[in-house]
Amino acid sequence: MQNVLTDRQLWGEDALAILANLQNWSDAGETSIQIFPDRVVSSSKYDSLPAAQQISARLSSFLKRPPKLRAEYQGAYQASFARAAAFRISGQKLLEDDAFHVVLQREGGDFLKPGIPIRSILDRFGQPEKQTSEVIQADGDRRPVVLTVYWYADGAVKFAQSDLSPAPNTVDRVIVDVTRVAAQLH
Amino acid sequence: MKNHLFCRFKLPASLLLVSALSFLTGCGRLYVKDIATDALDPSNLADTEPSIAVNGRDTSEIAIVTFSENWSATAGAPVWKSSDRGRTWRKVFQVVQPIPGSFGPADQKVDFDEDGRLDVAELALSGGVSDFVFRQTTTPEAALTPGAAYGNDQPHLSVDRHLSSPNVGHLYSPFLDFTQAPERSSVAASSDRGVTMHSVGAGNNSVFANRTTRVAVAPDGKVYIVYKIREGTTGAPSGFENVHFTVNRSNDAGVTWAGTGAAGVSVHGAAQVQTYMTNSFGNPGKGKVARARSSDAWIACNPRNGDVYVSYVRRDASGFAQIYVARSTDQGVTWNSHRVTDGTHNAAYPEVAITKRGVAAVLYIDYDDSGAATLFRHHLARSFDHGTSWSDETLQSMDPGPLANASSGFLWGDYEGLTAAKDTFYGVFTGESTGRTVAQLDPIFFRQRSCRWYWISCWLESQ
Repeated sequence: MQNVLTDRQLWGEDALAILANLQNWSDAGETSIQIFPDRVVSSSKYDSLPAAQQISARLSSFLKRPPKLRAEYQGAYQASFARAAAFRISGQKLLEDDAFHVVLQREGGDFLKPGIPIRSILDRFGQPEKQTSEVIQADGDRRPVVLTVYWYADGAVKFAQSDLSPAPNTVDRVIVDVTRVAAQLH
Repeated sequence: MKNHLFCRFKLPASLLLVSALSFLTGCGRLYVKDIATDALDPSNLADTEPSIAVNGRDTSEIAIVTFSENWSATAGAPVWKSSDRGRTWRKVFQVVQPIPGSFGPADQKVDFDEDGRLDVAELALSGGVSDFVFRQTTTPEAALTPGAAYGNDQPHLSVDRHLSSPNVGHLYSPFLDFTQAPERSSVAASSDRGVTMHSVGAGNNSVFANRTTRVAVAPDGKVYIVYKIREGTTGAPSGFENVHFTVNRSNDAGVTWAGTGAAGVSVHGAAQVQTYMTNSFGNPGKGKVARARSSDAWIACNPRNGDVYVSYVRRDASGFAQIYVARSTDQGVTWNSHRVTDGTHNAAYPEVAITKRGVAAVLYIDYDDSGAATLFRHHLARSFDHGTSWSDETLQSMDPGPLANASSGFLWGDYEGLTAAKDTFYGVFTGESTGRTVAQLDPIFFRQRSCRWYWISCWLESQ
């Protein structure tokens, strides 16, 4: 897992700052996050905007705490620590499932490197332990998002490609199990 | 899967000879073909939610859209095309990105106009939901031109190509408007091929939400929609809800929708019926399942006399969801329904089409979960007596379990494609591939000339 969590061809500086602060997401009650090239989204869905905003506010306050990392991650992540100050966290309704989520963004954000071929993930990290598909339905009947999900580290880190992506066979998002990865990092 | 050479008589001969040849060569038999190949579909895409249109000016020209490649800033999404009545196919990447940065296609429907030009309704995702009608403005293979943004969820499309109509050339795109509360079936109409669109509410949402809006144009230019009024789940089993399948008519090219009264007319009378509202069509304990939420109604008009047909889902006394077809001979005011299916399996996804001689066909899906894995079966049922009795043929029986690109929860989409040109039905469904290196979901094309055996002129006519 350490290879994945410190791969600079995969993660931008902002993603490293997210990983360094992963315990804060866990403390805010989130069990899984999805890292996109331009934002980070809670996997948890909320019925209302106030409910998502409540978690957002909690997470914002936690991000002021200095990260505590295991020694083997200090070197890779230290330079990113300061970036957390510029993160904007809010509750937002997402188009793909018409539900409210906690969304973290930064002006000019550099989270997941865009356009990474799934092929390069397989080359770098080997064959996934499992490959599944996940259909994300919205309230209406427009085309759902169908994710093809590649499982690593027993599902602690999952790479997902989207059938709605204009660039097929690339990583659309990385789904991180907050609890398990935080336990690895902190 | 069946593959038969389709016969085509170009020159009249003696009636006896024609009849004999018709019988011996299988004229009118079903032609079925997987239109994808490894070369055309190198990414093994799922090709879900297909729709089909046939060029009335030249019925050798057929167009299909499915969820295949997406558009991007530099490349269009494809339209599958055949110029030989479905024998060979190619992809034409001509559906361009309508808004910079938008994602799609995310719902689509295809049609031809009276001059044989292609029109496609598309939903684009770009911070919100916008629909566009793309139109052919130059050569058939050139990039299509998007018109004005309109609409909301699940746009459909029908073009008035009846030369007998005062509104020939107008197009109609129904959609479900989630910006209204409760959501309302609405229709955008255009007299300039989508350059400008004029949207109006058409469904009765005074108490309950609407869903599943489909449109058809009669030869006199009157326009019909069918939609369901969702009236709750009291007394309905899990995965079903109580509805009225309701038809309304526009007599003025889509400006108003009260031709059958402001509230419309229920095609099955005053009593509610139960239909699907589920993400689990099938047996979740025995394999993959499908979404069936706007998968329960369709509408078509007889292209000669204007009779209106509605296919719909109704869970009836058999205990199964069944396919029914209602017919109106008085412009949607009164209706008579008959059951298409045999009361032995759950069925949904009915699309209906009518040939010029009044033969009706329904494409639908049922499932058989009596074995270890659920088998989904695509059917084509036909009626030669205006929807009173039906004969049924299984197009394909499929277990999607082993197919890697078949995603449980969205196997083929909310609907598939069926249309008629002259005396032939043309259809497309998302089914199991044939001849591919990797077994997968592909768009499966079929056609069938449909004449009574004694309709000699029908058999003689070039299709």
